[in-house]
This record gives sequence, structure tokens and C-alpha cells, in this order.
Amino acid sequence: MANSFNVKKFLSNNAIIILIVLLAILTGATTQNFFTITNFKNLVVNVSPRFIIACGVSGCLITKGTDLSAGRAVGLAACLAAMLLQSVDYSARMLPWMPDIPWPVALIIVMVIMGCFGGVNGVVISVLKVPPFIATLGMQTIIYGLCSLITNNQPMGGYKTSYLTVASGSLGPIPYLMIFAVVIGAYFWFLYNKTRHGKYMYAIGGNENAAQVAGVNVRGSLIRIYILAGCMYALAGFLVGAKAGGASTATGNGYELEAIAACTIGGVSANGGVGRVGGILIGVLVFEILKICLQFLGVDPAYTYIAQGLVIVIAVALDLRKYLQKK
Amino acid sequence: MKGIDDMAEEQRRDQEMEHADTEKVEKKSSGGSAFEGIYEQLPNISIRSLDKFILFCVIALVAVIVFGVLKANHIF
Repeated sequence: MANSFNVKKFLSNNAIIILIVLLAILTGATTQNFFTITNFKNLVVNVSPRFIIACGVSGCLITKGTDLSAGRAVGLAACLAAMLLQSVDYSARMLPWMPDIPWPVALIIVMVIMGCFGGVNGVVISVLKVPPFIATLGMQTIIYGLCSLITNNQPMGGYKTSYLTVASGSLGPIPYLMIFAVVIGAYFWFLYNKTRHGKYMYAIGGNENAAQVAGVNVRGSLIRIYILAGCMYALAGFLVGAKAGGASTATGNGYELEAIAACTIGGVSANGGVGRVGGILIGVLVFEILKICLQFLGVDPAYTYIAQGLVIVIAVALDLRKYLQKK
Repeated sequence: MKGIDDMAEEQRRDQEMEHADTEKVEKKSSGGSAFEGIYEQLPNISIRSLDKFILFCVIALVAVIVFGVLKANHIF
């Protein structure tokens, strides 16, 4: 029958999600405090900045690119936010001459700065035709160097209360971090599904030459995608800094690999042209739930790294399987 | 006859130029990922062997988790 439920197809498309759901059920059944509001809030607070980073990276992946500078960009953003939002009476203030500025102004400043870095990535990739892997790998190292320079390799803290409240506060039962993530998710859904930019993005990822011939401004679109990605890393770094109460050159280290892996798990094809915001959220959740489950089960973090690596390999293999089936 | 030969030679030259232009356009546009078209560059893999590989990875994942849990509970 044409409409019969294909069990094999369902299992192969959702293998990782099914495994993680089973693991969560097992963890809930064998440990206390897993299925609690506190743990759920913890999950939401951890997922939110990672989801924002993954949304930024997704545009790069959908256009057959990548962005290895995401993690370091998050770190630089956290450090910049720290410099702008340290308490005025903090003795070790990085910028003692800086007046007390509201956190939204600091956020805009950080987003503009990181958007510029994203723009540089976009120009190098779309105009100079440097492969995204190489361009963003170079940018990753540049950003790390800049971060070390401006922070003097010193960790930063002493934030104003209003900045810390951005991460620790909530609107009723809903943490502010979750509100940020929901707004960004809604924005990206609208951007990818209801705007010309989104259509151009999928067209470039599907077939760049055909998109160009059809009149798509490929260069302009790619630059916009990388600028938007930079702005998302800025927002995520801002939130990560607020959540941690401090920032250093180590902040954000490795976040890009998690974000790319989460996108791949969520169905963003390594072959380009495919990806949904809902899938990205699922990918990020899968990663975080895996980490939390193994933490609750008392598993050594070394095994968690191995498990995460295997999840990534399985996700890519499933993506390749879909590609071969279409072929 | 000579006229036909000249026309054929001209057509062959035009085709060569068109081909060279197309190649240039393709090279110019192909500024994507270092791994662009990586799936196309892979050797011919059957879906069956890929399924076996995926199954192997899933079993390895379950084994790692189980081993980690057993070690955490000091069974090993």
C-alpha cells in the first residue's frame, strides 16, 4: 500500500532520536530527580545558547560551507560583553573609563563587532573563493589570538547584576534564556521558510551554478549568511558569559563541533541544500540529553566523549544513506 | 569541398572555446567547502554495507554506554 508505514525507513531516519529517548527513559527509571522541573530547566538553560549557535552555523552548512570559527567567536563575544558590562565598582575592571552602559546596548555593540567578523568570513569565501573550511579555520585562530590580546589571558568577572539576571532570571516559570532561544528559533524559521533569503540559501546549497544562472546573487547571500552567523555567535557568547558569570579565552572552545554535529543529527545535510529549524533543535536536544543522561548515570566523562563521537558518525552515515537512496 | 572543411574546422573551434568557457565558469563558481561533493568522491558504497556499518556503530554506542554505566557502578 502506498500509505503504509515503512518501519525500516522510520527507524533509519530517526535511529539516534529513538536511542536517546530510550536512554532518557532508562535514566529516568533508574535514577532520582531526572524527570523533574529543575532538571528540565537545567536542560533548557544549557540548550538555549547551543541552539542559537547551531542556528547560526546551519546557514553555512545548508550552503555547503562550514564555520569552524563559531566556538572562538562565542568566546570573543563573551569576553567583549564582559569588558563592557563589568560592575562600575569592580576593582579589576578591564576598561575603567567605560561608563555604565545598559546590557542591550552592550549586546548590540558585541553583535556589530562579531557580525563584522562574519562578514569577513563571507567575503573571503564568496569573493576570494577560499574554501569555507580553510577560511573559517584561519578566522578561528585569528579570533583566539585577538581574544588573548584584549583579555591579556586573564579570566574576567565582576559583572553588573542586570547582566547576570539575563541568564539567571525568568518570566514566571520560563527562563529568559529560553525566551531568547524561542525568539531566535521563530526568526530563523521565518527566515528559512518565508523569505527570499531563505529560498536563495536552499538554492545555493542545492546547486550553486544553477542558482547563479537563475539570477540569485550568490555572493551577497553568502555574505549575509556569514554575517548573520556572526551575530548569532555574539548573542550566544553574551548569554554564555551571563550564565557562567565569567569569561576567558577558553570560553566557547569546541562549541563549533557540537553545533555542526547537532545540525547533522537534526537533518542538515553535509551535502547542502537541506535543513530545518525543528531538526536543528532536535539535534541540539539529542546532544544535551545524551550528556545529561550519562551524567546522571554516573558515567565517566571520557565515555561521554566516545558516545558523542559515535553519535556524530551515525548521523553522518544516515545522511549518506539518504543521499545514496536518492541517487 | 574546401568550404565545407573550413566550416567544420570553424565549428570544432567554436565548440572547443565553449567547452573551455564552461569549465572556467564551473571552476569560478565552485568555491564551496573543502569537502564539497564529498559524497560524490566516495567510492561506490552499497546501501547494504552502509546499513551494516550503521548497525555496527549503534551496537558500539550501546556497548560504550553500558560499559560506562557498569564501570560507574563498580561492576568492572
